[in-house]
Amino acid sequence: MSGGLAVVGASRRVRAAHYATERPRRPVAALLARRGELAQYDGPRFGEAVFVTLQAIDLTCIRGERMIFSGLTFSVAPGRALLVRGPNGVGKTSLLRLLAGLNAPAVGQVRWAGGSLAGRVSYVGHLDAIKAALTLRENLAFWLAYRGHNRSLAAALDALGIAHLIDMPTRYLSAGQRRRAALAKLLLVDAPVWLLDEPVSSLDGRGIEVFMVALRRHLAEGGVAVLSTHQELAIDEAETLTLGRNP
Amino acid sequence: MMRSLWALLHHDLRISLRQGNASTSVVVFFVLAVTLFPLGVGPEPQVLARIASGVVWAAALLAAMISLDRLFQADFEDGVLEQLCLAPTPLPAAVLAKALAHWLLTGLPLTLIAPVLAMALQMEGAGVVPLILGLALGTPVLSLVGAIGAGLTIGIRRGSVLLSLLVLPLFLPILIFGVGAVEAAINGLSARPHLLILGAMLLAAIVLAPLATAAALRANTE
Repeated sequence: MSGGLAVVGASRRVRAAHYATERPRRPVAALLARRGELAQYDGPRFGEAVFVTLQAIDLTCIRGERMIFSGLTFSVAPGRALLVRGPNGVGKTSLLRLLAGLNAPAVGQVRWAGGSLAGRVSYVGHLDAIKAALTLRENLAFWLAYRGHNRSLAAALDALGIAHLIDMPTRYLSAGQRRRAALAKLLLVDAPVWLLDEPVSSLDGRGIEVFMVALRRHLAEGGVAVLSTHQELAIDEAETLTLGRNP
Repeated sequence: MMRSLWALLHHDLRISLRQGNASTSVVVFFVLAVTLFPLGVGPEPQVLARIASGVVWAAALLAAMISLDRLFQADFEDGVLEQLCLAPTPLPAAVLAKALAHWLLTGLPLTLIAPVLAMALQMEGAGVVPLILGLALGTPVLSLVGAIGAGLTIGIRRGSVLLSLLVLPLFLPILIFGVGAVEAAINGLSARPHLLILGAMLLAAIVLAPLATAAALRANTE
């Protein structure tokens, strides 16, 4: 069992100040300092931006009657990624859904900057959340308006290499193109935490390349990513969490 | 948040209009269901006038219900529902926007076409205004309460049958006071008390139904 694993990455390239402006919070720094956690961090020490860390504390997941994993503890610092690996059915998707808040953990909690992660997540699961009846532009413009950001749609599509499909009804898109569209939503929504469930499945070599560029830029801006994958992804900023089967 | 909800409403209406079937099938069902009655009970004007309000209201309830099972089903299947659960906009507010879109596509056309069908059934003129007002107040409640049932039955195979069993009993008070308003006006009484009760039901449904629906949706996306 992969319990008690600690992945504490501390990046010196923290440029996460803009996330801190989202919501004024109680002084997390003081709380963490009292619990001795300041010692683990070697970045700048003042202001909340320092502590925009994704923490999973003692997570236990039970699906049906079966315990999938238990006692999972880790944290992902700003600018770092966590690669979740392991054979099929070991709980990678369950872990990502727990982190996203789609499922409630049986035990444990997920924290972001000492508080709740709700509303700060971009999640790409097995379903692409693309409406077949609408064009790509209509689909993405809706999510842009719904999440309340004013980013450039064309730039996001361009980054994923699907700008030429913008007025195409999405029912004519291939699986790989739909996946690229789902990933383009990550660039439209200004969420500090990306939770990606096998993001590169059905992508071709070029698709994986453009996705990696987008991911590296997100991390360089101080974002956090947790992704599950079966492929080898070369991410320098990533730790690996390998889930194993119950003995 | 209003901008998000406006976007969601716009999005839902656009999908329905693009697919071009939701409103039409509901209205056609409504017209067909109402026209069955003269064929069944005979064309005597007195008989038809007696049953007109009840027939129009009962057919409106059934018509509103047949479109409910698609309310969240498509969003559930293509993953949009998951994304709505995760967005900063509260899920109950999103449910309210979706219920409003559903009403604009079903309840509103039913309300507009009902007086024509009532006249065709020889309903007395005094009952027409209370019929329109009653449907205008009652059909949004159908969309909101129906959303709870739709939220509970997503992901269930043949959920639409279960959905009918769940929500039809909840529609009964709407039927009773909706027909009551029309009958009162025809008999020379005031329709106001009946309409006020329908209004109260609408206000309660606006507040409570989105919360219940959001809880059902969250339980079902697990």
